[in-house]
Amino acid sequence: MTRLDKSNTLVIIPAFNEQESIGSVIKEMLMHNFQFVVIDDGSHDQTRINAMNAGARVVSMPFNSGVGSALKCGFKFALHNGFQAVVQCDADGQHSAQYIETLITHSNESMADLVVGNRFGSIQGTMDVSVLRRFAMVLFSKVLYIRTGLTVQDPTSGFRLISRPLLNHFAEEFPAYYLGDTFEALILARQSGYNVSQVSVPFSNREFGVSTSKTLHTLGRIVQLFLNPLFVGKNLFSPKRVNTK
Amino acid sequence: MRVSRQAAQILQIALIAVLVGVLILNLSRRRLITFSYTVGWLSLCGVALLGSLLVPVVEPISRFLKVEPFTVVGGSAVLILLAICIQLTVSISGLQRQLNEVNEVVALLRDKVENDSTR
Repeated sequence: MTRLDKSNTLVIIPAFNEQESIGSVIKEMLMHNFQFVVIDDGSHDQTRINAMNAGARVVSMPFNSGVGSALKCGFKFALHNGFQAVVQCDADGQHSAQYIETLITHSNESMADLVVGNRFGSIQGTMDVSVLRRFAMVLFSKVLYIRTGLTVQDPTSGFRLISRPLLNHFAEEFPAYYLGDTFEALILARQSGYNVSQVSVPFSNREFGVSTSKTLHTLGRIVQLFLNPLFVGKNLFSPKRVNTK
Repeated sequence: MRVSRQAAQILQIALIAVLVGVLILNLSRRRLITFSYTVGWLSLCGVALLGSLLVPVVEPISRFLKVEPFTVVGGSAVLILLAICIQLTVSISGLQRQLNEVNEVVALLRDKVENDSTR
């Protein structure tokens, strides 16, 4: 496995209507000298313009396809440009760029293909969540453990590092629906035999915009959880279909 | 003139089939539905028309089920419609997936074109 560092890791920032926060997120990336790309997921506001003005390379999707599709686009971009790993980072300023290195270091130490930034394990800053979301997260953790034997405290965290060859797989096949990009991706990675690990990262709550996480979505996802074996019963990654070089 | 109950049911089914057929042809002429779906729906209308003529034939089944012949023909139509809906759902899901793929590729190509032209 290639040792990861700033030069071979790309930060992907999927953004949908984040015109207020995108500028400050990009400034932070530039300050820490990360290579990054903004994937504008068909925003209706000034997200693309603001990101470009702040100095970002912006890949603009013609219309909104959801965060999973935007991430997949970013994965393809990373592979086309020779990166060994990507770090997913939200455009709302909740994930601080300084902790990207924490993910990279942890990946090198643990040899994990996927490292989840745990938002609830730090004493420096943690996430405010509703009772329902907290319940959902506990439930997701339990289901994840039952399905894969993985213990991940924060399976819905969008702050994570993905390295090759798992990155090749995700560029081909990645769940695009709500929570598929986080929770379901962990199941797929684990079921395909990849190493998954977690590391605690401080977290700040959203200052601008509106979260895409909605109560109805969460409830729907909980229902789907109980039907989960029907939805994710099969390994989507066929080694024959994906070039892992 | 008094129309028998069975004749009334045949006329009702035939009328519905013809009306749906006309609607489908109209939609097809306005290019709102593709040729393959037009053929599918018109075939269904044809089956319904045929079914209306078969009302006397389904009479033994309706007697066995203790329902009206109209209900047997209508129930069969509902099952066919359900199958069409499931097929369309599968089709739409596939299209949605293809659309996402196209969206991703267009975004990457647009980025490539924009960056190549600024070099």
